[in-house]
Amino acid sequence: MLRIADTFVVERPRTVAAALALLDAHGDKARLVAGGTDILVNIKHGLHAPEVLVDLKAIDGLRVVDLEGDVFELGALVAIHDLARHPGVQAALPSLARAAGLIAGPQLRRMGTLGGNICLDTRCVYINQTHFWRDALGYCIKKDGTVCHVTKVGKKCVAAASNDTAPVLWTLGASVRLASPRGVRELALEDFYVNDGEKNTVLAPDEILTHVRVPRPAPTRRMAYQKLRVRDSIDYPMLNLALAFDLDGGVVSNLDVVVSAVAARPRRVKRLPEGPLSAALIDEAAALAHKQVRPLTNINGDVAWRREMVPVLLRRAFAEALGEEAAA
Amino acid sequence: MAGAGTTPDDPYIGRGFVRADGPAKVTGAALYVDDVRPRGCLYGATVRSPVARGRLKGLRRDPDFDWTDVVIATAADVPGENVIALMTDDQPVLAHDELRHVTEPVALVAAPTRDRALAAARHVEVLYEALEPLFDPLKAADNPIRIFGDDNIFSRLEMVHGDGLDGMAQAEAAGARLVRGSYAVGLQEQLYIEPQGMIAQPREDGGLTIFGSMQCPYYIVKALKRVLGHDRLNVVQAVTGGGFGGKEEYPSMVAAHAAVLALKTGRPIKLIYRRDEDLQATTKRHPAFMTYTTAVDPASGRILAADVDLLFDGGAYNTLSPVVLSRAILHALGPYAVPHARLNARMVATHTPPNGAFRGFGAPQVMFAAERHLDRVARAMGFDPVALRRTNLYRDGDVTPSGQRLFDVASLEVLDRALAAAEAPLPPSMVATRPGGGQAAGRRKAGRGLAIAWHGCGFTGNGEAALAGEADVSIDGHHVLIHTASTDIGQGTDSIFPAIVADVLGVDVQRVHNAPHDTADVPDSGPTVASRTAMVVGRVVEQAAHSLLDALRAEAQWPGAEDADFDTLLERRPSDAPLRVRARYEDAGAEWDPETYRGDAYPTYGWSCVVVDVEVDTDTGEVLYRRLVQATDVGKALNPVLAAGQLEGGALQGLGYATSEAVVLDDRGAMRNNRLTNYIIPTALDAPPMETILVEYPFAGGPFGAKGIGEIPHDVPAPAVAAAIEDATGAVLDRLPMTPEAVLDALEARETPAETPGAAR
Ligand SMILES: Cc1cc2nc3c(=O)[nH]c(=O)nc-3n(C[C@H](O)[C@H](O)[C@H](O)COP(=O)(O)OP(=O)(O)OC[C@H]3O[C@@H](n4cnc5c(N)ncnc54)[C@H](O)[C@@H]3O)c2cc1C
Repeated sequence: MLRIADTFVVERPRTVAAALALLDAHGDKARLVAGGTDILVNIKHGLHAPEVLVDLKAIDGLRVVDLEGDVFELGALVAIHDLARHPGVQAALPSLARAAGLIAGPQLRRMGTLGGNICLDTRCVYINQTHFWRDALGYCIKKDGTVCHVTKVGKKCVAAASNDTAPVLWTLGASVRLASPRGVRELALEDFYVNDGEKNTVLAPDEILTHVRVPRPAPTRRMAYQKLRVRDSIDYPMLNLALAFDLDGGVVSNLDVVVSAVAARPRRVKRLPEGPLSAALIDEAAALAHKQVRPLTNINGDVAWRREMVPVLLRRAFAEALGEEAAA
Repeated sequence: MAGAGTTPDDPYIGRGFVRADGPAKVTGAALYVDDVRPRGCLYGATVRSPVARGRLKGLRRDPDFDWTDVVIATAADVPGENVIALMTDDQPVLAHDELRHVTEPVALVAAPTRDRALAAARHVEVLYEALEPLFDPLKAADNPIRIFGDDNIFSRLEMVHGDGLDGMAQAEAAGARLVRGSYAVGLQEQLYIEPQGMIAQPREDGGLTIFGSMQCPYYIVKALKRVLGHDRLNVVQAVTGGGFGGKEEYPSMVAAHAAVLALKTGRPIKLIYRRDEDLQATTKRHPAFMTYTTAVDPASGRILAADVDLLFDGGAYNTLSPVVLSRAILHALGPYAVPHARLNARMVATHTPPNGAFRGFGAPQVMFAAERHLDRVARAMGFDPVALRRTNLYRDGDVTPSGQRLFDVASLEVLDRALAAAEAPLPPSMVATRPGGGQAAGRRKAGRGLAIAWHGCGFTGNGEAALAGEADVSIDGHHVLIHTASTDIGQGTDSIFPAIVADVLGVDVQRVHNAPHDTADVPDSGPTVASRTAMVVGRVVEQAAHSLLDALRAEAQWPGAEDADFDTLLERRPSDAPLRVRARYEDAGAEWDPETYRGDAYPTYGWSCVVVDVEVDTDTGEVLYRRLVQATDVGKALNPVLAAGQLEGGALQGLGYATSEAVVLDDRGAMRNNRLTNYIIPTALDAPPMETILVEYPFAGGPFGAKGIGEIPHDVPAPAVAAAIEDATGAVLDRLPMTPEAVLDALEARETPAETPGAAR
């Protein structure tokens, strides 16, 4: 069994300010931990060796779910389980509730947090391995090495964004609020992620994600979330797809599709059609998604199969958004 | 619970009494091998072959590594013979000449901490001259690349039943249709949750105590006597976190390694495998390629003759492969009466890690082929698959291919009871109840599949008679102790044996305990394998309990002692001298000829029918389980809760074999997906609703009529799933595992005409 190194101390600040002070004091020796369901595994695998873990769970006020105003506010420490089960979230942001409900397994959903999910480290079959394994094969760009075992030739890490909430929040136009000694900044989620598997966010080492802000969707907004995984009980996505569009008088507009578990950054499908809702429109969107999304061997699952599943998930997302059950 | 079991009207047997090991496991008090750390203990690690085949040239220590507190052992340090004694002496403790498979142990290191030991092992380079490996089992026999003997065949069996192939020719001449099909199954990993682990501790007399995770303490005794060159050793089972056959023979290797290091360092050695190491280095279920030809009467559907060819891949060393092949050939026709048959089976060698024991032991492979073949016959000749089975199922008085006449055959009853239970409305689709609200809008097709198993309980042939397993029962004050080498690996032995003894003696089960499974104390009751423990050893334990009563009565000098109960006898004992009695397996006179494979292949058989309902997602190829019904003949359910637990757990493992458990090998033959995140076993949440019916056709040779049930539930879930996929979609899958990709391929192949009835020949 893998053991956790016992070389770090855990600090439990009660305020964001105190947490920031700890980050400031310990610099790159410190790391944030919320539910710990990602970072503890990575520490076991020897991907990080922090001396101080700054545990955010004792901080009040970061568990808020405020759905009152024109912009909803979700605290970074809201548990994934609570997000999935929250009646207000289910009603107003059904695709987000669904994505949350499809994360990991029951125990992990209770421990894991929204902030931790948004900041989840990228994943790759060559990095989520024991130190022993990586040492035997030879290290890679993401940690200690200079090559990429996926692309062989590339100089950039292609580990995949594997968080389920990211593509949904992207289609919901969400932004994140980040606190640091320099003050508070707010970034569109789109600008929060970058296409680099080594580190796929612009979060600074001394920054804390405190809240997620989601504009209240218009009454015409339809949304859906689809995920492909081996076991429904626990697994990370092999592919996921979030979709949103306005449907007004039978006409589709502002169609937005974001696909993830493919590359370091979730990928938005471009040049999507608009117009009267029709089979042709869905076909066109499915064909575009198929053309634009190319899975890599960075995560589990047959690459050809995963690619063929892109249009399948897109069609299903449409049906889900329209409240249709499949005809057998 | 109080008072239960203390009168004949209120026995434990037949009820869901509480597991003896439950509280300690739930509270964390149970000590697994890794929880124990003897004083002065060093940690071991294994240096393994990086290649499938090569000539060992030596070892090179990294000069930049600090070797001060590290000890290295090689084949030269093996004090006795460099061999793991099992069937044949082909497998070394440590490779010394030719490397025969990737991950083969080459050297050992010991260091004060586990991290140091692992680091040191990484800094020992294995020097070798690469040789061309042989991977393809279909090309292994008589290949110029030699692995075993002069033909690469570990074992070969042939059986002729009735008129053999002449029967086939006669049937064909009389108008029977010949149907031919080929079937294949891949590797499967046991995936016990606790990895392999062992501690070797030097004793004061110069011997060793071995303590660790295992199924079969006496296998280790046998193997280590040869490795050490003496018999000053005892083997003690630690609480063991699952085995499924994976801890039948492999622990002898781990124990031998720990022993070599303990002798070299004079210190206790703890050797625990990492998960990734365990998956790459230890045994798996044998892959198999199976071809069936049957002659079938077009009017009645009766199978008149069969010709079966089995090819199993044993990997680089023999391990227990010949016994696996033996069970395979004896089960190969499934639970169906066939008057004439010829069966051929070969176990070949390849340069891959050795395969070995796994729940079912050859039966799940052939039962997949047998059941799929029957579905092929049904498809090709227009029979209803269930009716075809009903026509051919064994009935009382039928004769098996080895010439054994069957009695008390539960085949039709398990079929009827499973079918009846499957009439109940299906529970809501798991798709709808999935977390997150349910996957919308798939093109899903529903289907149902059925398959039937028979499973020989206990050892094959004269195995039990040859072993003559023993068990002791003794008195310890107010308590009773049971002494056997039969281990609890999660299946409940430590709960079942005390209940048997408590019922015989008429005492509270809280007063009956299993003595630690320490070979210094317990007699050899045989290995914990082959669905034999409750049935065979349980019976010996039952007899030992009766012998204890007899012994107490014999020493009692007072009138009426012959009718007195246990407590009275105990109270009025003339002395408190120790009292310990022994019982031994009594052979019921089975006849078996290992040369001709004729006779009573097994003391009795279990019967099981599985009905699986699935939904096949025709867009993704995913198979979603709706329900699994099984009716299984258990002889007598000693504890119905534990029995159902075995049957349901086994069935779930069978569903993993069916659709998700794919072992992917790299170009050296090493398992590539050697992690829990990518070797996909079903979790508890993936289990469909199960309906489990315990059918009881008692076996006179088992305690209270019990039969072995450990393996039968793994036998036919996979072919039932294949049949359900076919029922839902028309897609025919004759290979395992049936992953989404494979199902999609089969859905596409459906459109091509290869499977039309005319082509079925
Ligand atoms: C078996 C298994 C299956 C899983 N399956 C899925 C899955 O299907 N889908 C999925 O999306 N995830 C999955 N996960 C990952 C994980 O459980 C979830 O993503 C979870 O939401 C992570 O949240 P956490 O609070 O536990 O993160 P942590 O582990 O606490 O943190 C993750 C990272 O985010 C940083 N961080 C945490 N909070 C903040 C903050 N407020 N501000 C700045 N940085 C922060 C941490 O420093 C760390 O780098 C799985 C994990 C496991 C072990």
